[in-house]
Amino acid sequence: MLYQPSFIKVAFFTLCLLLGSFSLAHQSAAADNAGAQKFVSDMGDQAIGFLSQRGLSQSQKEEQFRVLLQNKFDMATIGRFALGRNWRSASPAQQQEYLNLFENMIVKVYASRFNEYQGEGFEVITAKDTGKRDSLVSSYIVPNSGSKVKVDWRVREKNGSFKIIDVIIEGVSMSLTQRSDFASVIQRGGGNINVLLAHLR
Amino acid sequence: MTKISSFKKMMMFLMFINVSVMLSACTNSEEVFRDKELGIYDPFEKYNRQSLRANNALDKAVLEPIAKGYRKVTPKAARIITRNFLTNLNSPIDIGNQILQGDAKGAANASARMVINTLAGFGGILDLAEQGGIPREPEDFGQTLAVWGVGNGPYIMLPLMGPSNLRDVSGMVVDRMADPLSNYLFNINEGHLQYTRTGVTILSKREELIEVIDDLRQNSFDSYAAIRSAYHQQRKALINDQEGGFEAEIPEYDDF
Repeated sequence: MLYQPSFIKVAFFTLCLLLGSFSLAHQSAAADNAGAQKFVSDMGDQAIGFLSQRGLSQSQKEEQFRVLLQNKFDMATIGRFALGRNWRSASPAQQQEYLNLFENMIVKVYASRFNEYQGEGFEVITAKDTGKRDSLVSSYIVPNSGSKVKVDWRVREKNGSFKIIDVIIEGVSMSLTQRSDFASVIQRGGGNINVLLAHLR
Repeated sequence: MTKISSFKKMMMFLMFINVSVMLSACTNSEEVFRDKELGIYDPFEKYNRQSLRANNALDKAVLEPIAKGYRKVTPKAARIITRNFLTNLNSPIDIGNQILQGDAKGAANASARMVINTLAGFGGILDLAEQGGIPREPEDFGQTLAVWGVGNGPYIMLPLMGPSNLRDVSGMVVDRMADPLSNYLFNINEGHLQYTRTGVTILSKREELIEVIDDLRQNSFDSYAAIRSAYHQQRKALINDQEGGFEAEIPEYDDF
Protein backbone atom coordinates (compact mmCIF):
# COMPACT_ATOMS: atom_id res chain seq x y z
CA MET A 1 0.00 0.00 0.00
CA LEU A 2 2.83 2.36 0.81
CA TYR A 3 4.34 1.76 -2.60
CA GLN A 4 1.35 3.30 -4.36
CA PRO A 5 1.80 6.95 -3.38
CA SER A 6 5.52 7.01 -4.10
CA PHE A 7 4.91 5.46 -7.50
CA ILE A 8 2.37 8.13 -8.32
CA LYS A 9 4.73 10.77 -7.04
CA VAL A 10 7.46 9.53 -9.33
CA ALA A 11 5.04 9.36 -12.27
CA PHE A 12 3.81 12.85 -11.53
CA PHE A 13 7.35 14.17 -11.22
CA THR A 14 8.32 12.56 -14.52
CA LEU A 15 5.30 14.09 -16.15
CA CYS A 16 6.27 17.51 -14.84
CA LEU A 17 9.79 17.06 -16.20
CA LEU A 18 8.37 16.04 -19.57
CA LEU A 19 6.03 18.99 -19.67
CA GLY A 20 8.87 21.20 -18.51
CA SER A 21 11.16 20.07 -21.29
CA PHE A 22 8.38 20.59 -23.82
CA SER A 23 7.92 24.14 -22.71
CA LEU A 24 11.69 24.69 -22.85
CA ALA A 25 11.82 23.32 -26.38
CA HIS A 26 8.91 25.53 -27.28
CA GLN A 27 10.44 28.64 -25.84
CA SER A 28 12.27 30.14 -28.76
CA ALA A 29 9.03 30.19 -30.79
CA ALA A 30 7.26 33.29 -29.50
CA ALA A 31 7.35 34.62 -25.97
CA ASP A 32 10.38 34.59 -23.67
CA ASN A 33 8.77 32.30 -21.11
CA ALA A 34 11.90 31.80 -19.01
CA GLY A 35 12.39 35.56 -18.77
CA ALA A 36 8.75 36.05 -17.86
CA GLN A 37 8.99 33.36 -15.19
CA LYS A 38 11.99 35.06 -13.60
CA PHE A 39 10.20 38.40 -13.78
CA VAL A 40 7.17 37.04 -11.87
CA SER A 41 9.39 35.28 -9.36
CA ASP A 42 11.32 38.52 -8.65
CA MET A 43 8.08 40.46 -8.41
CA GLY A 44 6.79 37.95 -5.84
CA ASP A 45 9.93 38.30 -3.72
CA GLN A 46 9.61 42.06 -3.88
CA ALA A 47 5.93 41.97 -2.90
CA ILE A 48 6.55 39.62 0.02
CA GLY A 49 9.43 41.84 1.07
CA PHE A 50 7.23 44.86 1.45
CA LEU A 51 4.23 42.95 2.82
CA SER A 52 6.30 41.53 5.67
CA GLN A 53 7.78 44.93 6.56
CA ARG A 54 6.51 45.96 9.94
CA GLY A 55 5.94 49.50 11.15
CA LEU A 56 4.84 51.05 7.86
CA SER A 57 1.78 53.26 7.95
CA GLN A 58 -1.13 52.44 5.67
CA SER A 59 -0.36 55.37 3.38
CA GLN A 60 3.31 54.39 3.12
CA LYS A 61 2.23 50.88 2.14
CA GLU A 62 -0.17 52.29 -0.44
CA GLU A 63 2.61 54.40 -1.93
CA GLN A 64 5.00 51.43 -2.16
CA PHE A 65 2.26 49.33 -3.69
CA ARG A 66 1.50 52.00 -6.28
CA VAL A 67 5.16 52.02 -7.35
CA LEU A 68 5.13 48.21 -7.65
CA LEU A 69 1.92 48.41 -9.67
CA GLN A 70 3.30 51.02 -12.06
CA ASN A 71 6.60 49.18 -12.56
CA LYS A 72 5.32 45.64 -12.91
CA PHE A 73 1.83 46.00 -14.37
CA ASP A 74 0.76 47.50 -17.67
CA MET A 75 -2.05 49.49 -16.09
CA ALA A 76 -3.02 51.20 -19.34
CA THR A 77 -3.60 47.88 -21.11
CA ILE A 78 -5.44 46.40 -18.12
CA GLY A 79 -7.64 49.46 -17.71
CA ARG A 80 -8.39 49.74 -21.38
CA PHE A 81 -9.23 46.05 -21.64
CA ALA A 82 -11.53 46.31 -18.63
CA LEU A 83 -13.49 49.07 -20.32
CA GLY A 84 -14.01 46.89 -23.42
CA ARG A 85 -15.84 48.41 -26.33
CA ASN A 86 -16.88 51.39 -24.23
CA TRP A 87 -13.33 52.73 -24.60
CA ARG A 88 -14.01 53.90 -28.12
CA SER A 89 -17.13 55.84 -27.25
CA ALA A 90 -15.33 57.71 -24.46
CA SER A 91 -13.75 61.11 -25.11
CA PRO A 92 -9.95 61.45 -24.59
CA ALA A 93 -10.62 63.39 -21.38
CA GLN A 94 -12.94 60.63 -20.12
CA GLN A 95 -10.36 57.99 -21.07
CA GLN A 96 -7.65 59.76 -19.11
CA GLU A 97 -9.86 60.29 -16.07
CA TYR A 98 -10.98 56.68 -16.23
CA LEU A 99 -7.39 55.36 -16.25
CA ASN A 100 -6.47 57.50 -13.25
CA LEU A 101 -9.56 56.44 -11.32
CA PHE A 102 -9.01 52.82 -12.28
CA GLU A 103 -5.50 52.81 -10.86
CA ASN A 104 -6.68 54.47 -7.66
CA MET A 105 -9.39 51.84 -7.31
CA ILE A 106 -6.90 48.98 -7.67
CA VAL A 107 -4.59 50.56 -5.08
CA LYS A 108 -7.49 51.05 -2.64
CA VAL A 109 -8.84 47.54 -3.11
CA TYR A 110 -5.54 45.77 -2.52
CA ALA A 111 -4.24 48.16 0.12
CA SER A 112 -7.20 47.23 2.31
CA ARG A 113 -5.94 43.64 2.30
CA PHE A 114 -2.30 44.17 3.29
CA ASN A 115 -2.90 43.45 6.94
CA GLU A 116 -4.25 40.01 6.10
CA TYR A 117 -0.79 38.87 5.06
CA GLN A 118 0.27 36.00 7.33
CA GLY A 119 3.57 34.86 5.90
CA GLU A 120 2.17 32.98 2.90
CA GLY A 121 4.81 31.66 0.54
CA PHE A 122 5.03 32.18 -3.21
CA GLU A 123 6.10 29.41 -5.60
CA VAL A 124 6.47 29.94 -9.32
CA ILE A 125 6.02 26.62 -11.14
CA THR A 126 5.84 26.91 -14.93
CA ALA A 127 5.56 29.30 -17.83
CA LYS A 128 3.96 28.65 -21.21
CA ASP A 129 2.78 30.56 -24.26
CA THR A 130 -0.60 32.22 -24.19
CA GLY A 131 -2.44 34.44 -26.64
CA LYS A 132 -0.46 35.71 -29.63
CA ARG A 133 2.85 36.47 -27.91
CA ASP A 134 2.32 36.48 -24.15
CA SER A 135 3.51 34.14 -21.43
CA LEU A 136 1.32 32.57 -18.79
CA VAL A 137 3.36 32.10 -15.61
CA SER A 138 1.72 29.72 -13.12
CA SER A 139 2.34 30.02 -9.42
CA TYR A 140 0.98 28.96 -6.07
CA ILE A 141 0.30 31.09 -3.04
CA VAL A 142 1.15 28.70 -0.21
CA PRO A 143 -0.46 29.32 3.18
CA ASN A 144 1.05 27.99 6.39
CA SER A 145 -1.77 25.47 6.58
CA GLY A 146 -4.55 24.53 4.21
CA SER A 147 -4.74 24.38 0.42
CA LYS A 148 -2.56 26.27 -2.02
CA VAL A 149 -4.16 28.85 -4.30
CA LYS A 150 -3.27 28.74 -7.97
CA VAL A 151 -2.46 32.11 -9.50
CA ASP A 152 -1.54 32.60 -13.16
CA TRP A 153 0.17 35.77 -14.37
CA ARG A 154 -0.20 36.83 -17.95
CA VAL A 155 2.99 38.61 -18.92
CA ARG A 156 3.66 40.65 -22.07
CA GLU A 157 7.04 41.88 -23.22
CA LYS A 158 6.97 45.46 -24.40
CA ASN A 159 10.06 47.35 -25.57
CA GLY A 160 12.30 44.83 -23.84
CA SER A 161 10.61 44.96 -20.46
CA PHE A 162 8.03 42.61 -18.97
CA LYS A 163 4.64 43.77 -17.74
CA ILE A 164 1.77 41.86 -16.16
CA ILE A 165 -1.47 42.33 -18.08
CA ASP A 166 -3.78 39.92 -16.23
CA VAL A 167 -3.95 37.94 -13.01
CA ILE A 168 -5.96 34.71 -13.04
CA ILE A 169 -6.89 33.27 -9.65
CA GLU A 170 -8.11 29.65 -9.68
CA GLY A 171 -9.22 30.12 -13.27
CA VAL A 172 -10.91 33.49 -12.77
CA SER A 173 -9.35 36.37 -14.70
CA MET A 174 -9.40 39.63 -12.77
CA SER A 175 -9.40 41.70 -15.99
CA LEU A 176 -12.26 39.76 -17.49
CA THR A 177 -14.36 39.88 -14.33
CA GLN A 178 -13.69 43.61 -14.03
CA ARG A 179 -14.78 44.08 -17.63
CA SER A 180 -18.04 42.17 -17.06
CA ASP A 181 -18.72 44.34 -14.03
CA PHE A 182 -17.96 47.64 -15.80
CA ALA A 183 -19.90 46.66 -18.92
CA SER A 184 -22.97 45.88 -16.86
CA VAL A 185 -22.76 49.15 -14.91
CA ILE A 186 -22.53 51.14 -18.14
CA GLN A 187 -25.27 49.18 -19.88
CA ARG A 188 -27.67 49.46 -16.96
CA GLY A 189 -26.83 53.15 -16.79
CA GLY A 190 -28.18 53.58 -20.31
CA GLY A 191 -24.83 53.19 -22.08
CA ASN A 192 -23.34 56.26 -20.42
CA ILE A 193 -19.70 55.98 -19.36
CA ASN A 194 -20.21 58.80 -16.86
CA VAL A 195 -22.22 56.40 -14.73
CA LEU A 196 -19.11 54.23 -14.34
CA LEU A 197 -16.88 57.24 -13.71
CA ALA A 198 -19.26 58.38 -10.97
CA HIS A 199 -19.01 54.94 -9.33
CA LEU A 200 -15.21 55.05 -9.56
CA ARG A 201 -15.04 58.50 -8.00
CA MET B 1 -36.63 3.56 1.29
CA THR B 2 -39.60 5.86 1.74
CA LYS B 3 -37.22 8.56 2.93
CA ILE B 4 -35.30 8.54 -0.34
CA SER B 5 -38.36 8.86 -2.46
CA SER B 6 -39.79 11.68 -0.39
CA PHE B 7 -36.42 13.46 -0.57
CA LYS B 8 -36.36 13.05 -4.33
CA LYS B 9 -39.96 14.22 -4.58
CA MET B 10 -39.12 17.30 -2.59
CA MET B 11 -36.18 18.07 -4.89
CA MET B 12 -38.35 17.63 -7.98
CA PHE B 13 -41.02 19.83 -6.48
CA LEU B 14 -38.48 22.57 -5.72
CA MET B 15 -37.10 22.36 -9.24
CA PHE B 16 -40.62 22.57 -10.64
CA ILE B 17 -41.35 25.70 -8.61
CA ASN B 18 -38.09 27.23 -9.76
CA VAL B 19 -38.74 26.57 -13.41
CA SER B 20 -42.27 27.91 -13.31
CA VAL B 21 -41.26 31.05 -11.45
CA MET B 22 -38.47 31.62 -13.96
CA LEU B 23 -40.76 31.12 -16.92
CA SER B 24 -43.24 33.63 -15.61
CA ALA B 25 -40.44 36.07 -14.85
CA CYS B 26 -38.95 35.79 -18.28
CA THR B 27 -42.09 36.61 -20.26
CA ASN B 28 -41.79 40.33 -19.56
CA SER B 29 -38.02 40.80 -19.78
CA GLU B 30 -36.80 43.31 -22.36
CA GLU B 31 -33.35 42.34 -23.56
CA VAL B 32 -31.65 38.99 -22.97
CA PHE B 33 -28.01 39.11 -21.85
CA ARG B 34 -25.58 37.03 -23.86
CA ASP B 35 -21.81 36.83 -23.69
CA LYS B 36 -20.53 34.75 -26.57
CA GLU B 37 -16.91 34.76 -25.33
CA LEU B 38 -17.79 33.18 -22.00
CA GLY B 39 -20.84 31.27 -23.23
CA ILE B 40 -23.24 33.09 -20.92
CA TYR B 41 -26.94 33.12 -21.74
CA ASP B 42 -29.11 34.79 -19.14
CA PRO B 43 -32.78 34.92 -20.15
CA PHE B 44 -33.93 34.86 -16.51
CA GLU B 45 -31.85 37.83 -15.43
CA LYS B 46 -34.72 39.58 -13.71
CA TYR B 47 -35.56 36.54 -11.61
CA ASN B 48 -31.89 35.79 -11.04
CA ARG B 49 -31.21 39.29 -9.71
CA GLN B 50 -34.14 38.95 -7.28
CA SER B 51 -32.79 35.58 -6.25
CA LEU B 52 -29.33 37.04 -5.57
CA ARG B 53 -30.89 39.83 -3.49
CA ALA B 54 -32.81 37.26 -1.44
CA ASN B 55 -29.69 35.12 -1.03
CA ASN B 56 -27.67 38.12 0.11
CA ALA B 57 -30.31 39.14 2.63
CA LEU B 58 -30.52 35.62 4.03
CA ASP B 59 -26.75 35.29 4.06
CA LYS B 60 -26.26 38.57 5.90
CA ALA B 61 -28.93 37.65 8.45
CA VAL B 62 -28.04 34.02 9.06
CA LEU B 63 -25.21 32.30 7.25
CA GLU B 64 -22.49 34.95 7.35
CA PRO B 65 -22.78 35.60 11.10
CA ILE B 66 -22.70 31.85 11.79
CA ALA B 67 -19.67 31.37 9.51
CA LYS B 68 -17.85 34.24 11.21
CA GLY B 69 -18.73 32.84 14.62
CA TYR B 70 -17.49 29.42 13.54
CA ARG B 71 -14.18 31.01 12.50
CA LYS B 72 -13.90 32.82 15.80
CA VAL B 73 -14.50 29.88 18.11
CA THR B 74 -12.56 27.16 16.29
CA PRO B 75 -8.79 26.95 15.73
CA LYS B 76 -7.69 26.96 12.10
CA ALA B 77 -6.36 23.41 12.32
CA ALA B 78 -9.81 22.15 13.34
CA ARG B 79 -11.44 23.89 10.39
CA ILE B 80 -8.93 22.39 7.97
CA ILE B 81 -9.49 18.92 9.43
CA THR B 82 -13.24 19.36 8.99
CA ARG B 83 -12.78 20.54 5.42
CA ASN B 84 -10.48 17.61 4.58
CA PHE B 85 -12.87 15.10 6.12
CA LEU B 86 -15.87 16.41 4.16
CA THR B 87 -13.87 16.55 0.94
CA ASN B 88 -12.76 12.97 1.40
CA LEU B 89 -16.37 11.85 1.84
CA ASN B 90 -17.01 13.28 -1.61
CA SER B 91 -14.30 11.11 -3.23
CA PRO B 92 -16.69 8.58 -4.83
CA ILE B 93 -18.28 11.44 -6.80
CA ASP B 94 -14.84 12.65 -7.96
CA ILE B 95 -13.79 9.14 -8.97
CA GLY B 96 -17.07 8.29 -10.71
CA ASN B 97 -17.04 11.46 -12.75
CA GLN B 98 -13.37 11.08 -13.72
CA ILE B 99 -14.26 7.63 -15.06
CA LEU B 100 -17.31 8.95 -16.91
CA GLN B 101 -15.09 11.63 -18.47
CA GLY B 102 -12.69 8.93 -19.65
CA ASP B 103 -9.89 10.51 -17.61
CA ALA B 104 -7.90 7.44 -16.51
CA LYS B 105 -5.13 9.42 -14.85
CA GLY B 106 -7.66 11.61 -13.04
CA ALA B 107 -9.59 8.54 -11.84
CA ALA B 108 -6.37 6.89 -10.62
CA ASN B 109 -5.35 10.07 -8.78
CA ALA B 110 -8.77 10.48 -7.16
CA SER B 111 -8.77 6.82 -6.10
CA ALA B 112 -5.24 7.03 -4.73
CA ARG B 113 -6.24 10.17 -2.83
CA MET B 114 -9.21 8.40 -1.23
CA VAL B 115 -7.17 5.36 -0.23
CA ILE B 116 -4.20 7.35 1.10
CA ASN B 117 -6.28 9.91 2.97
CA THR B 118 -8.76 7.41 4.42
CA LEU B 119 -6.15 4.90 5.61
CA ALA B 120 -3.02 6.93 6.34
CA GLY B 121 -4.82 10.25 6.84
CA PHE B 122 -6.96 8.99 9.75
CA GLY B 123 -10.27 8.66 7.94
CA GLY B 124 -9.66 11.67 5.76
CA ILE B 125 -8.87 14.36 8.30
CA LEU B 126 -5.39 14.83 6.83
CA ASP B 127 -4.83 15.48 3.15
CA LEU B 128 -1.58 13.54 2.92
CA ALA B 129 -2.14 12.96 -0.80
CA GLU B 130 -1.91 16.68 -1.55
CA GLN B 131 1.28 16.96 0.49
CA GLY B 132 2.62 14.01 -1.49
CA GLY B 133 1.97 15.74 -4.78
CA ILE B 134 -1.54 14.55 -5.70
CA PRO B 135 -3.78 17.60 -5.38
CA ARG B 136 -7.54 17.24 -5.69
CA GLU B 137 -9.28 17.87 -8.97
CA PRO B 138 -12.86 18.65 -7.98
CA GLU B 139 -15.28 16.81 -10.26
CA ASP B 140 -19.05 16.76 -10.62
CA PHE B 141 -21.60 15.54 -13.12
CA GLY B 142 -22.04 19.05 -14.53
CA GLN B 143 -18.39 18.94 -15.65
CA THR B 144 -18.91 15.44 -17.04
CA LEU B 145 -21.85 16.67 -19.11
CA ALA B 146 -19.65 19.54 -20.38
CA VAL B 147 -16.92 17.08 -21.38
CA TRP B 148 -19.62 15.14 -23.24
CA GLY B 149 -20.42 18.28 -25.17
CA VAL B 150 -23.43 19.70 -23.31
CA GLY B 151 -23.45 23.52 -23.33
CA ASN B 152 -24.00 25.75 -20.30
CA GLY B 153 -27.67 26.42 -20.92
CA PRO B 154 -29.33 29.39 -19.25
CA TYR B 155 -27.65 30.92 -16.21
CA ILE B 156 -29.55 30.27 -12.97
CA MET B 157 -29.04 31.97 -9.62
CA LEU B 158 -30.30 29.22 -7.32
CA PRO B 159 -32.09 30.16 -4.12
CA LEU B 160 -29.72 29.40 -1.20
CA MET B 161 -27.15 27.61 -3.35
CA GLY B 162 -25.90 30.47 -5.52
CA PRO B 163 -24.77 30.69 -9.14
CA SER B 164 -25.29 27.79 -11.55
CA ASN B 165 -26.69 27.03 -14.96
CA LEU B 166 -29.13 24.50 -16.32
CA ARG B 167 -26.42 21.95 -17.10
CA ASP B 168 -24.77 22.25 -13.70
CA VAL B 169 -28.10 22.09 -11.83
CA SER B 170 -28.90 18.85 -13.63
CA GLY B 171 -25.44 17.59 -12.76
CA MET B 172 -25.96 18.50 -9.13
CA VAL B 173 -29.21 16.48 -8.96
CA VAL B 174 -27.50 13.46 -10.53
CA ASP B 175 -24.55 13.69 -8.12
CA ARG B 176 -26.90 13.86 -5.13
CA MET B 177 -28.84 10.81 -6.26
CA ALA B 178 -25.73 8.81 -7.13
CA ASP B 179 -23.80 9.61 -3.96
CA PRO B 180 -23.21 6.19 -2.33
CA LEU B 181 -22.72 7.55 1.17
CA SER B 182 -25.96 9.51 1.17
CA ASN B 183 -27.90 6.57 -0.28
CA TYR B 184 -26.39 4.29 2.33
CA LEU B 185 -27.30 6.64 5.18
CA PHE B 186 -30.91 6.88 4.02
CA ASN B 187 -31.11 3.11 3.57
CA ILE B 188 -30.05 2.42 7.13
CA ASN B 189 -32.51 5.06 8.33
CA GLU B 190 -29.74 7.46 9.38
CA GLY B 191 -30.82 10.19 7.00
CA HIS B 192 -30.27 12.77 9.71
CA LEU B 193 -26.52 12.15 9.31
CA GLN B 194 -26.77 13.13 5.66
CA TYR B 195 -28.56 16.35 6.64
CA THR B 196 -25.82 17.01 9.19
CA ARG B 197 -23.18 16.40 6.52
CA THR B 198 -24.93 18.86 4.20
CA GLY B 199 -25.25 21.45 6.95
CA VAL B 200 -21.62 21.22 8.03
CA THR B 201 -20.49 21.31 4.39
CA ILE B 202 -22.39 24.56 3.82
CA LEU B 203 -20.94 26.08 6.99
CA SER B 204 -17.39 24.98 6.16
CA LYS B 205 -17.66 26.26 2.58
CA ARG B 206 -19.11 29.59 3.68
CA GLU B 207 -16.30 30.08 6.20
CA GLU B 208 -13.75 29.34 3.48
CA LEU B 209 -15.37 31.95 1.25
CA ILE B 210 -15.62 34.80 3.78
CA GLU B 211 -12.94 36.92 2.06
CA VAL B 212 -13.98 36.01 -1.49
CA ILE B 213 -17.58 37.02 -0.89
CA ASP B 214 -16.57 40.17 1.01
CA ASP B 215 -14.40 41.11 -1.96
CA LEU B 216 -17.14 40.53 -4.48
CA ARG B 217 -19.59 42.61 -2.48
CA GLN B 218 -17.23 45.49 -1.77
CA ASN B 219 -15.13 45.67 -4.89
CA SER B 220 -17.64 45.30 -7.67
CA PHE B 221 -20.21 47.87 -8.65
CA ASP B 222 -22.62 45.30 -10.04
CA SER B 223 -21.81 42.16 -8.07
CA TYR B 224 -24.45 40.22 -10.02
CA ALA B 225 -22.50 40.71 -13.28
CA ALA B 226 -19.15 40.00 -11.60
CA ILE B 227 -20.42 36.75 -10.05
CA ARG B 228 -21.97 35.65 -13.34
CA SER B 229 -18.69 36.22 -15.16
CA ALA B 230 -16.50 34.63 -12.49
CA TYR B 231 -18.78 31.58 -12.24
CA HIS B 232 -18.50 30.80 -15.93
CA GLN B 233 -14.73 31.35 -15.97
CA GLN B 234 -14.21 29.10 -12.99
CA ARG B 235 -16.40 26.33 -14.38
CA LYS B 236 -14.47 26.47 -17.63
CA ALA B 237 -11.19 26.07 -15.73
CA LEU B 238 -12.61 23.14 -13.75
CA ILE B 239 -13.93 21.47 -16.89
CA ASN B 240 -10.44 21.72 -18.40
CA ASP B 241 -8.97 20.41 -15.11
CA GLN B 242 -7.21 23.74 -14.56
CA GLU B 243 -5.06 23.22 -17.63
CA GLY B 244 -6.32 26.57 -18.72
CA GLY B 245 -9.61 28.28 -18.39
CA PHE B 246 -10.91 30.87 -20.72
CA GLU B 247 -8.13 32.69 -22.51
CA ALA B 248 -9.04 36.34 -22.86
CA GLU B 249 -8.25 38.12 -26.10
CA ILE B 250 -6.16 41.05 -24.87
CA PRO B 251 -5.24 43.22 -27.87
CA GLU B 252 -2.06 45.22 -28.27
CA TYR B 253 -2.92 48.82 -27.68
CA ASP B 254 -0.22 50.58 -29.65
CA ASP B 255 -1.21 54.15 -28.99
CA PHE B 256 0.38 54.07 -25.56
